[in-house]
Amino acid sequence: MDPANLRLRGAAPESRLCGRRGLVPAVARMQSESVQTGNFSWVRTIIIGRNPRLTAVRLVVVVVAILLLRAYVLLPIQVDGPSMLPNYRERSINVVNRLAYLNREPQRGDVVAIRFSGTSIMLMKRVVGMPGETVEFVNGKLVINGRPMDEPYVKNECTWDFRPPHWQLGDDEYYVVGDNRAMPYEDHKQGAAKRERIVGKVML
Amino acid sequence: MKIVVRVLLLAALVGGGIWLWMYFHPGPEKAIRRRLADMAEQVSFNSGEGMVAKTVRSEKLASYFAPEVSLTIDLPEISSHESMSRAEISRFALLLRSSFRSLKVQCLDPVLTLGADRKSANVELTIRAETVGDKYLVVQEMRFTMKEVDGEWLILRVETVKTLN
Repeated sequence: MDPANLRLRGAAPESRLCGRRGLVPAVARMQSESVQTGNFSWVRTIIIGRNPRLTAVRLVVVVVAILLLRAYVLLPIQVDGPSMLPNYRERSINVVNRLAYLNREPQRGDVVAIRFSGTSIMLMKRVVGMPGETVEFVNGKLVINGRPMDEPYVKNECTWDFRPPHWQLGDDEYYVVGDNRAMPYEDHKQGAAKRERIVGKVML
Repeated sequence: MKIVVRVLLLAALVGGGIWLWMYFHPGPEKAIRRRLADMAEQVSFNSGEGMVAKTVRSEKLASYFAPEVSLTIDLPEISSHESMSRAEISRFALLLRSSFRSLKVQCLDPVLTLGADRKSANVELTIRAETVGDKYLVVQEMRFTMKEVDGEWLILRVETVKTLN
């Protein structure tokens, strides 16, 4: 908005009401300034706050916190592939908590992210076998140390019947598999994951 | 004020000089990363590529490898160990180009371990290959053994790495 126009528009009615020549320009100026600063301060408060320096510091703190959170704590991921259906749909967004296993080890039933050489691409699988255990599938049932396991998260029935090549897990190995057992097991990436490859726990 | 400006200009000049030096004389790690990215670009192709371009780029791809490359594949579906010459690599690249309409290859997350002489290196990386039209995607972890020969980092050995045992 043009300040000159504002001043003219503001001046005219006042001059008529007051009828005192000396007062008119001052009143007009005061009114125009209040309109101007009123508009500006409102926008300014919204954008940069009342104290720009403080806002800048806050902004830097927030950006640094987000970057640190993204780098070391929460890793956003997008699910790609059908191996975790129907619990995790393709293209859905999720978050990996990288600090989940800082003080404790992965537990049976946890959904974890497993890295390749880095974290650009990861596998999303469920931990079903713990270190030292034996793992096999008999008539579609997961069998750990010779005992059939109950898996409430598996919604699709399957007919898997095999003993994985690496069925006896080492001291630092976890057996991981997807929830979608309707897939042929040859197409389903599963197996023993070293502890060092488990990046974190899938949160949602 | 003048001094401040002069100091700032000098700092910018020195910074620019260092950057230029680093760009044209990269350390082994940077040179390897750049080389791998270039190689991925040479393997990738689009549907509109002409015959001459196909041949040239296939031959260029072979130049990233040593004259004799050891190839070890250990996957559930296939397991083999063989040697390949540059001519065979070039032919394989041409075969890829005639088998698919397009291919996009990326070398992700390279983890480098330099040898004590800084003339050899082991690189673990994730290869992501995607054929756009056919919707075929391969993600495989690999290990490359590389050696610097006449200022160029060449791939001596290629091995698959098992992410899950």
